[in-house]
Amino acid sequence: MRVSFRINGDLVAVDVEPRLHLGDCLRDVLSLTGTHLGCEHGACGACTVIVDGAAVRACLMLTVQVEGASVITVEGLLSDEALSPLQTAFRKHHALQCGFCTPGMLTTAHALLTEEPDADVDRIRSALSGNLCRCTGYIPIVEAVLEARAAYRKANKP
Amino acid sequence: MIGTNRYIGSPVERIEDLRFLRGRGQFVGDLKRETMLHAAILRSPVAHGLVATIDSTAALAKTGVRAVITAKDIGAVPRIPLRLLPLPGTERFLQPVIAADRVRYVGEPVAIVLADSPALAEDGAGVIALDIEQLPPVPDRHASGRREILLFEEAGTNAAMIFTGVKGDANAAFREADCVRRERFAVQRYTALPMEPRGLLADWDAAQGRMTVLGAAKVPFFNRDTLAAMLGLSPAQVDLIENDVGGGFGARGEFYPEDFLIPFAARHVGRPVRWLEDRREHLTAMNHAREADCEVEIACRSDGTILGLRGEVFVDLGAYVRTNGLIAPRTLAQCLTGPYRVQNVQMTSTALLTNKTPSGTYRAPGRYEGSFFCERLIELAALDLGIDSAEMRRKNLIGAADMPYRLPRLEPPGASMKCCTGSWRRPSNRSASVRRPTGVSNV
Repeated sequence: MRVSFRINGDLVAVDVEPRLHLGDCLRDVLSLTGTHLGCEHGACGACTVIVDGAAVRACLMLTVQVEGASVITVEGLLSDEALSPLQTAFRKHHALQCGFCTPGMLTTAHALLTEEPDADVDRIRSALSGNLCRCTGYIPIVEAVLEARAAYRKANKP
Repeated sequence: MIGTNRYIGSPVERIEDLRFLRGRGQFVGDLKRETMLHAAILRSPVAHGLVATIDSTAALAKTGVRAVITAKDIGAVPRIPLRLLPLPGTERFLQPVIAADRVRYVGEPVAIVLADSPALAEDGAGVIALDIEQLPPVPDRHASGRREILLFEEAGTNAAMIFTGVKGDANAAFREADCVRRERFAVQRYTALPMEPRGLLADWDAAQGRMTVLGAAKVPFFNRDTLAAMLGLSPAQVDLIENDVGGGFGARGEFYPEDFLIPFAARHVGRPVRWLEDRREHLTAMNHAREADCEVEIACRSDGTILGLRGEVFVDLGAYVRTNGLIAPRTLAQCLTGPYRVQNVQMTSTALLTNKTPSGTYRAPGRYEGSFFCERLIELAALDLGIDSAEMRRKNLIGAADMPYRLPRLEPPGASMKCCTGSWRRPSNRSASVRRPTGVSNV
């Protein structure tokens, strides 16, 4: 089936089987391998991408469901190669080790702070509760997201 | 000449963070080769059985399925050698890289399907007609010990290894004790769950006679030599390349059946082959760990001084002895006394085969189980004695004067071990007046 959508701002059209989930489409068809597949049943959150502003599991969504939508992946969080304030905060706070869960953490946090730049620590922990990390523990990740709030507040100012 | 150390005590930015944060990691699933085929592995759906037939006709008839490989295509099926503790007798229980005529756990590889996409390979695996004549399984270590059903009839036993740890005269210590406490404990089976499931990409260069395998995650030199021997190549013809790895925890990166099957498949069909484990597969295929129970007893004086520890530990090892499978049973025999001064020890640790996924090391193998058994026993003894359990622990800690402290003698292989003196000075540039919490570490 032919499916057209925006990926990180660019219009694309792909020809895929109806059964192909969005994660496999991003990785295998569009070669955007930043989105990682850890469990393929919605449990780990590594494959989280942003579809029309909402953080969703790419492994639980079929490619055909994003017809006409706008999809943002971890590759789309960069602007001109520079790390975003959120990515910079992750690096500063040692919020990653093996790096496999990191794209899902970043997309989940980006979707949250875009909507709620004043999210408190409980809200941040709640939003990240669907993303598993096996290396760092979650404290540095939460600290990084807390620090990144300032940049999102600034960006949201009219 | 070493100058002032700039790194200890200061945060160091990691170079790999930049690619991870940009979504440009190079995990094995991110790697591709032109003309690459995708592998799916058909695994045994039953715990114990005899393989009657494997009919690949329907799979090979599917569009996009390029090959199906079974034990027959491999010929003499290699067995995976032990990397650690390759003791005499263990050769009877090593895992063949693929089941030829008998399956011993759910998840044991039976066939490999190669196709143009992972989905097509799974489609192919789904239509292979696999006929297995089921045998009664050995579900736990109790059934294993009864020997009514044997996993390897020719061995005459399900006990893969029996270790003993002996020091002093435990029976004499128990006769002289004021207080004896005996208890049974158990730790359930569980395993490592790295965020990234395993994966391999094998590329055979026929012209150069060279095998390149991406996706190595641990001990690449031992595994390179093992793979080379199995493929009839020299180690110099084989490269194992460790790219980014999404967690290991001791379990990932050991030599597993797939570490032979995927390179073999690539050479067999003359095309690169990639296999990415899915999570369900991971839970049945990668090493399990921890399952052990015990009946142990502690002998103490009325003031809480530990005189002796003795008992039996039973480890449910699963269906085969894998590369490092004997580490936990060994450690349970020798190190169950943890950081405590115990002069009289008599421990037996039996590794028993069952029809479950084989076990291996996972974060502090044997130490975790042994610490629970020992610490719980101390807690109960302190309760019996009416003394503070923390004080009882403090009284029995191995001190500087006990060093080098001698651990129980281990059989097999017949080895003594001493703890090093472990004398570390307080860093001189830190104020001695700062109060810090005190802890005890057992490493």
